[in-house]
Formats: sequence, structure tokens, C-alpha cells
Amino acid sequence: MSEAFRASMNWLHTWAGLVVGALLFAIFWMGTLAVFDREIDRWMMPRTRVEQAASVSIDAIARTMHPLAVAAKARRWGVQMPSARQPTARAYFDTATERRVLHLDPATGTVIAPERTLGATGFFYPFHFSLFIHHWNLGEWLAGLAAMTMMAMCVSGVVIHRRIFVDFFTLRIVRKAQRTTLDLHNVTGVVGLPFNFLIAFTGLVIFMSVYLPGIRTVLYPGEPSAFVAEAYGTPRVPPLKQPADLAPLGPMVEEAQRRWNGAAPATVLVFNPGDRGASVMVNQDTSSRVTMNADTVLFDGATGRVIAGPHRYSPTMMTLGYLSGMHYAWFRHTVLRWLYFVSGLAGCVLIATGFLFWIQSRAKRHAKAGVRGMALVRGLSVGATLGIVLASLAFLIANRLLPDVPTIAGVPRAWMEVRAFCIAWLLAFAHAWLRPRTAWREQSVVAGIGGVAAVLLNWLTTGDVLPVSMAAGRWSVAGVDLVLLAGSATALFAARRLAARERLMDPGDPGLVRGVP
Amino acid sequence: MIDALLLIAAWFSAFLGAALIALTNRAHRAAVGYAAETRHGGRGNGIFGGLSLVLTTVLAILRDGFGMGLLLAPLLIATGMATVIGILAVRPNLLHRRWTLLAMMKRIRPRQ
Repeated sequence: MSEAFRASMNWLHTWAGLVVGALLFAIFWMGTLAVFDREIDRWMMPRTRVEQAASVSIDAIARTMHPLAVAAKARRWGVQMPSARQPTARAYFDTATERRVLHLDPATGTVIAPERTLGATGFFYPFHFSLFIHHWNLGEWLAGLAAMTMMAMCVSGVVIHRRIFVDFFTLRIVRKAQRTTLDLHNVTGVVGLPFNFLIAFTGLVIFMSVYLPGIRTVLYPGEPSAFVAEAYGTPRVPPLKQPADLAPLGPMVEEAQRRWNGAAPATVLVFNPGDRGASVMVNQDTSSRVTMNADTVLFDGATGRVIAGPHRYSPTMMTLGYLSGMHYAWFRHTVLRWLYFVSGLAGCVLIATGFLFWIQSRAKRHAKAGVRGMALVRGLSVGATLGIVLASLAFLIANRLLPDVPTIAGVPRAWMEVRAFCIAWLLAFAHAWLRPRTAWREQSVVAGIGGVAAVLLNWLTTGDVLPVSMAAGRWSVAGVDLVLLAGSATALFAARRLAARERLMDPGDPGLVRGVP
Repeated sequence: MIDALLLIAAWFSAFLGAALIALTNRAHRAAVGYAAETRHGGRGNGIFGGLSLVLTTVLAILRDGFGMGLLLAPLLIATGMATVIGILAVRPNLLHRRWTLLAMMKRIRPRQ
């Protein structure tokens, strides 16, 4: 391999990582949390910590939801059937301006609780791919840029790692922090290479239609919904503007199950509720496999007659379904999802150590040469990594501190939690730029305290102290508490090590990198 | 129960494979406490290590089928490798044959 090529890859790896690293960390961090989104939801929605019902009555659910959706002139309503990860029936309806979500008892259809938080499924998960920037799909485009960059850095990282095989298992924990940082970066990069490349690639595949809009325009000119009908078997039926009752949903679900040879339903969607043109989609539960093909069966909502389905997917769509399933990780396989979670955290460590190594390898040189901008990068690295961790903790703490009312000071409660997240993140950036030399240590301390505070608040506000949750088998809540405590311990340990390093350093050295582990 | 045993066996196979491959490296062998020059060269350990990783894949597929098994196997191998890296970094002598089933793999013993 020519040295010029290696040098060009090194340049690409260094600068692409620096420029896109902050965005990439945010996406990786949120994706990692989203692996356990339903479990975090249980933590954030205490009233939904119920036993899974022995039976499910879709008609009882419809008796609650359908009148509400008709009264609100909703375009559709839907229900996610209960599962081990989500014991309630999560039902929602969409109006022209908003989505209302209710958790229902699956057996009786009675409302257990309205959803007054976005939770992980409504915040961490969409943040992962949209960054909550919806104008012109800008968030998806930025996520796509990050995914492309990740793939490019995986390839360029392999090219520039001269001793990739010799140092494959080498992690030197030594006094020289730069050596340890680079080893940690290499180890997490090499061991996590297949996962990181796969997750970036499948992320791009999922949003293929956003990144390559021309495909639909050329193949389905003037009729974008034809793509959805052909690919997923879910044609849009327009409203007829004539009132009509909804036929019983129970027989429709039974018919769908009969056509699936007994497979369970995952979601039931009712379009144009209250209209003679209502249609009902019953989607299959795909949690027992990777491929996410829902084999939708479509019914006429007014008569209960089958319109189409189950849909037979083309080989292309089957491939897309498998690739998407690999990324979404919605399967019912706890060990695999934990491995995704750990791999996601390793990806976060990879990005953070990349930032650190950039700083450590240049700090003295830049200080001697009088190059400016190091403080900016230091602040960026702390704010982008520890900052978003702190913001996520602030989101959880706000969830436990805010009163359980629909609005607070005129703002929906759910968005107050998001404000807490944004304010905490901005404060973390401001702090990192104001105190770049000690920011790592100080924010580690705050993260350590924040994690413990979240666990304590969960106990005080719900009574679910960790041993009680474990004894009662509420593993989703106990798991979140345990991860918070483990994260706190790690953060406090890191802060202690950083403090020890700071004491050892010579404050007279102009190029020293205080506060950088 | 069988699922749990298969999972443990798959992970241990991944760990063993990673350890054997790691010990093909002279520096790691020295760190673990073996003589750098072994009677059998690194090649044999590499082959056994590779076979062990293949076994992980087979066990993962047996447990979960091709769909999830092919996802599970590389992630188990990655965690096995991460464990070996961690041990080599902190307490390399834990990989010594007195402490691990590597004793059964008589590929790694000092030259007599």
C-alpha cells in the first residue's frame, strides 16, 4: 500500500472524525438508548408498570378508542398490542396537528394512563435518526451524512492502522494517557468494526427513499402512494365522506391470524374512522424473526371484508426487511439486544477516544506554535460526548420531578422534559467552553451524581426501589436503575482518576492537557 | 435450559478462540507467562482458535436459526475478544493454563 494513499486516508479519518464526530456521537448514543426504548418507557411511565394481561380484547380497545378518534376527526387511530416489553395496549390517534397516546388495559379497554412524556420511544428513538429537525428531512440527511462518514472512517481506519493484526489484542493501560487512548480507540474500532459498519450501512438502507427520492419519482410518476401499495401491500383508501360504524375488529384479527397460520398480530390500524371508506390494517408480530415483513392484511372497516393480504413481499423487499430488522433490533431476543447495547456503547467510546486522541496528540504542539482553536475542540468534545449523556440524565430526572399534569405553564409536560434536555445540553457545552481544562472531570462528577439522583427519584416518586423491582420481576425498571448506577460508578471512577492526574501535572507547563484523561 | 447452555457454550467457544488467536502473538505469550518460543508455533493455535470461532457460529445458528444466529455469532465473538483484550491488559496471567481450559489445549506449553 502506498504511503501517499495511507497519508490521504489518515487525513480523511482525522478530519472527517473531527468535523462529524459530535453528530455521530449523538446518533450513536441515542441509538444505543433506543435499543431498550420500551424498557426506558416503563421507567418513565410508572402507571404502565402493570402485569401483562392474560387476554386481549381488540373490540374492547376499539370501544374506547374509536369514539375518541371520531370525535377528534382523526385521520387514523391505531393500537400496539401488548407484549412482554410493553404490557399495556398502547393506542393513539392522529389529528391534523397532533398525536394523542393512551395506555389501555388490553382485556377491558379501560384507560390506564394518558402518555404525558415522549419517553424513549418518542424522544431517544426519533432523535437517533431525525435529530428532531423535520424541515426538508434535514435531520435524516444529517444522519445519513453521519452514517456515510462512519463507513468511510471504518475503511480509512483499517488502512491507516499499520499494526492491525499485531496489535489486535493490545490495550496498554499505561501512565502516558495518549498511548492508552489510542489503544482503546483501536481496540473498540477493530473489535466493533463489523457492527459499526453494518449499523451505518443498514441505517442508510432504511432511509433509501429519502436519500434517493428519484427512484419513486421515476418509477411511480405522479403517484407516490403506488410505491407503498406495491412494496408493502398497504394501499391508501380515501374517505367517502359518508358516516358509517366500524365493523367488529375481533373477527378481522382472527381472520388475519388464520391467514398467517396462527401468528400473532402486532398492530391494528384504522384509517378514516367513522367513514364508510374506513379501512383496517392488521400487521403481524415480527419480533420472533429479524426480517420485519409485517404480512399486512387489509380489511374494509365498514363491512369487515378482506380487501387484500397477506401481502407477499418481493425478494428485494425481503432483503430490505432483513437489513432493516438488523438495524431496528425489535426482535424478542434479550441477549442479542444487550449485545447491541454494549456494541453501541463501544461505538460511543470509539468516537469519544477519537476526539481525545486528536486533542492529546496536538495540545502541546498547538500551544507551542500558538495555534488557536484547541479550546473550541476541547469544548466540543466534552459537550458532544459527556454533554449529551448529562442531557439524557436531565431528561430522566425532569420526568420524575415534573408534576403529572397535561401542561405546565402552558407547555405540554412532554415538551418540558425535552426543554430540560436541551437546556442541560447547552449548559454542558457552555461549561465545557468556559472551563475546558477541568470540564471532563467536573462533568463526570455531575453525571455520576445525576445517575444516582435519577434512581433515588424513581424510588421516591414510585416506591420502586431496586430490590423491590427485582423481587417483583419488573426487570425493565430494575434494568434501567442498574444501568444508571453502573454508569454513575463509572463516571465517578473516571472523575477520581482525572483528579489524580490533575494533581500530578505541572501547572507551569503551557501545553499540558489538564482534564483530558 | 438447552438455550442457556448453548449460549454459554457459544460464548466460551468465542472466548477460547479469541484467547488462542491472541496467544499466537509472541508478546502476548510472554505477558501471560509462557516462554516466547513454544514447541508448537503460532500457526496451530491460530487454526484451533479459528475453528473455535467457527464452532461459536455453529452453536449460535443451532440456537437461534440463521436469521438471529448470524447476528448473534459475530457479537459473541466480539465480546469474547473484548474479554481477552481486557484480561491481557489488566491480569494477563489469568489466561495461564493453570487457570483456564487452555490447559486442555496442549498447544501452548514451553519448550522442554
